Amino acid sequence: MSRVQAGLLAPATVVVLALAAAITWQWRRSAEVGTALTPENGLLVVFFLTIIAGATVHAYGSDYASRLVDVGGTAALALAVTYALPSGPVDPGTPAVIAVTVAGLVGGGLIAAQHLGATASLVLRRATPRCVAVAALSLLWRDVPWGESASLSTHLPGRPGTTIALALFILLFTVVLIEAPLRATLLRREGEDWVTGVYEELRESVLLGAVPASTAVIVVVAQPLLGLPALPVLLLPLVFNQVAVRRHDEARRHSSQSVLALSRMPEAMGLVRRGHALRVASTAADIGRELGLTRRELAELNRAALLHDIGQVYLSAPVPSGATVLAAPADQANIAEGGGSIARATGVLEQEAAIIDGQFVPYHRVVSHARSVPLASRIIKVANAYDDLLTGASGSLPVAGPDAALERVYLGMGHEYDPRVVEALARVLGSESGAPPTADPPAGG
Amino acid sequence: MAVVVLSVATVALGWVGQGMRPFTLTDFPPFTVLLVAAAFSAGLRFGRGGEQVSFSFTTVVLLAAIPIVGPVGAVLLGIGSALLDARQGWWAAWVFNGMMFAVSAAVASLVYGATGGTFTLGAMSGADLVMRIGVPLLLADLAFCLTNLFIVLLVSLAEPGGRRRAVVKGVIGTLPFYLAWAIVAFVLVTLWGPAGVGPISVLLVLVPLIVTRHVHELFAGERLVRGSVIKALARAGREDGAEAHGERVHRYALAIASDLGIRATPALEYAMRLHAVGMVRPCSLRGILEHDAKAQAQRDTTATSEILCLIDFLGETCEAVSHQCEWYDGTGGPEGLSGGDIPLGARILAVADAADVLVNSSEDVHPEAAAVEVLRGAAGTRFDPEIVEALARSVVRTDLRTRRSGPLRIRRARPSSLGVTTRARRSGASA
Repeated sequence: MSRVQAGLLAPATVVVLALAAAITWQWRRSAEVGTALTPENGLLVVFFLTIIAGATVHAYGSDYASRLVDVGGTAALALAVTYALPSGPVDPGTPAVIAVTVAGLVGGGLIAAQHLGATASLVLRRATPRCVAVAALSLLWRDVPWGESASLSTHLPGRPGTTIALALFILLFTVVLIEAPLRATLLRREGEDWVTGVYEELRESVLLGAVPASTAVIVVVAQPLLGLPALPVLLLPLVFNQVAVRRHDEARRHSSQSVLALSRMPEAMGLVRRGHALRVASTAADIGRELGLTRRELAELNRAALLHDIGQVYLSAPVPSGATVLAAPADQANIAEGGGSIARATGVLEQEAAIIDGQFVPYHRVVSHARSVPLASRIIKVANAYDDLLTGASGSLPVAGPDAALERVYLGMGHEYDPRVVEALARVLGSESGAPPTADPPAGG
Repeated sequence: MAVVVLSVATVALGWVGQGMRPFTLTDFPPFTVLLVAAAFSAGLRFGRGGEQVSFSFTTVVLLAAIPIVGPVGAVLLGIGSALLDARQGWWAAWVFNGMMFAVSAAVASLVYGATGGTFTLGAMSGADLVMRIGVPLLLADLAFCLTNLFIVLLVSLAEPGGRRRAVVKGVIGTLPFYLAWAIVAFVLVTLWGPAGVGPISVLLVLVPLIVTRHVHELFAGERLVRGSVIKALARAGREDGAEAHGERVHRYALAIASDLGIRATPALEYAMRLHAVGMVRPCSLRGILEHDAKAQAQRDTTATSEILCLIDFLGETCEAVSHQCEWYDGTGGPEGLSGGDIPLGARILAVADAADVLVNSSEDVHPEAAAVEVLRGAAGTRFDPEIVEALARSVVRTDLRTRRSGPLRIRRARPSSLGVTTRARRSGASA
């Protein structure tokens, strides 16, 4: 058994156990009726195949990004509330619904993981939020009494189609919102605090939750008329969505690579020290997270930090080793302006250009209202100074170590640097126990 | 003229349709709901900078309208959705698109009725749903698509062949989407009538499509970032002439590629435009025949490849740029490749780059002819002889310097209801 397969033993066990549970459960129920060809069994088998196929083709990257909208997960939601087929009412029961969902989502993730190199724990963590949501949904639908001590699954069927559709939509949308804190906890991004994570995931659930909810409603409401063979047709709008999402992901990867390539230019031309842009971006991201920036702001900060020194390609006389911390103010202004103009010339990096423009402005001019400067600029100013002090090679540089570098930054606090940012840097360094910042891949937006 | 013909056709077809299933006052509420949905689909199409992506589901609404509000309702909806389309710039296109939608909807309605489609949406069995709504809708959809294609062909008869082919190709490329739209319309009708969900079903069906469109918009945005950052790469830190030099090198490369019958890929274009990114001294400027030490070539090309090879989709570009200083006889750098081992892009780039430098530094009255002579002198040692000859042939054919700049702009293809189309208008961002 290869290393990858061995590593995925835990989720494989989960799949086998879930399948065994579902089969045992259904076996006992079938034995009561006397035949295995019940509508419930057909329903479970078709949905299991759909869920596992949907979860397999859904290409998650190997990063932590989780996604709300996928064919498998949506089919699982629909399974939980499907109440009738053309042959009549069906009720597979909560245990079978949960078992099939777990087996399908984890199994599909497992198959996909072989290509993507995801770890066992990642496969499980990705599948868990939707499995919990489906369990909650099934309980709310058929097990929890709603007034007159009857469940929704006995209340609703038989009412007008509009009522059923609306009620189901509200129920499903609510359940999808429950997933947000789970995703924030299980798929926590590095350095991001939990509250920010919950906020971001909740936003995503509100914006995108309507898609799985409405698709699942379509499936459930159309099942009594069209039956199980129509399942792929009913999920079609979602397939469109997935194609679009995939293309978007690819374009996003390419655009961030392009920014990275542009940021390499001063280094490739020998104007700036190797890895400087990446290190500054990494430190800036740490400080930004410490100060509670949103994911969107962090993505902007990341691009601006990568490009902060690009203006050096315009300098007639290069700054020694590219360390701008000790450069003359006029040179600093030139670099910032040159960089800003390159970013602005793209026509799309407006925010980033404004951030790059502001990075040379000393903090006292911000305080005296001589210049208003985005927080991101002040972060980059500090991150850049720290890296220049630590790795520059001119005059008194580099200083003795991280502590000495931080001390030098402290000397400029209030006058040159924003105290909030410097404090944040100190906290970041403190939590890293003084280890110099290492280059991380840029965080996805 | 075309509009008059279309109007007459619409009225005639609409009259037949009215006989099949009359449009009455009670149809107004559902008609309004569908009109809002259609307007939403049409009016919210977007274009951003040079990138335009449209993902329109007007066809879904029009098809679903046939069983729900009848043929006349569908025709009126076709006109209405085109009139509410905010993108139409001038009134003739406006009216034309409206009438085209109307005629297409009318033809589709007649096909729907003639193939056994039902206009009474009560409870029915699954088999009935498929035979009396599903199949007729699919055929109606096909008729809709073919009518569109037919009208566009008629109108484009007056246009040059190349553009006509492009338009037809565009319509044919959207066929799979037409199939998908028919299926989505079928689901919408099933929910609306037989399942008893009513007008809310429009929301249920369109929400995923609206979100999809939003994702498409984000996609267009990212592509724009990518394209413009690449442009910034070509410009950054270079003297003013660099961009124009890249453009001219690209044009020489296009001429060479078309002479050799090679498809001009975006990767080739990027290679030409970006060949000197981050280079302190490009190899063409070191003198065409000056034999540099390998080490020098290596130093100069690593900076460029280090920047460009970071980017996935520039794989071929990276290869071409990294080997642009190789000599055909194997005595160049950085790897000392020879002959066919040197990537084709790199061999083309070397000739195109040198040609531009020679032409621009020449005092000759026929600078291109003079440049070709110099290049021929180095064929087999510095350059690939075949590529030098390809350039020579294209120089004889056209005076490249006086040629009108840039490839043809392709006008936005009509009809506007055609599913998903992505167009990059000479933005350099196409890949």
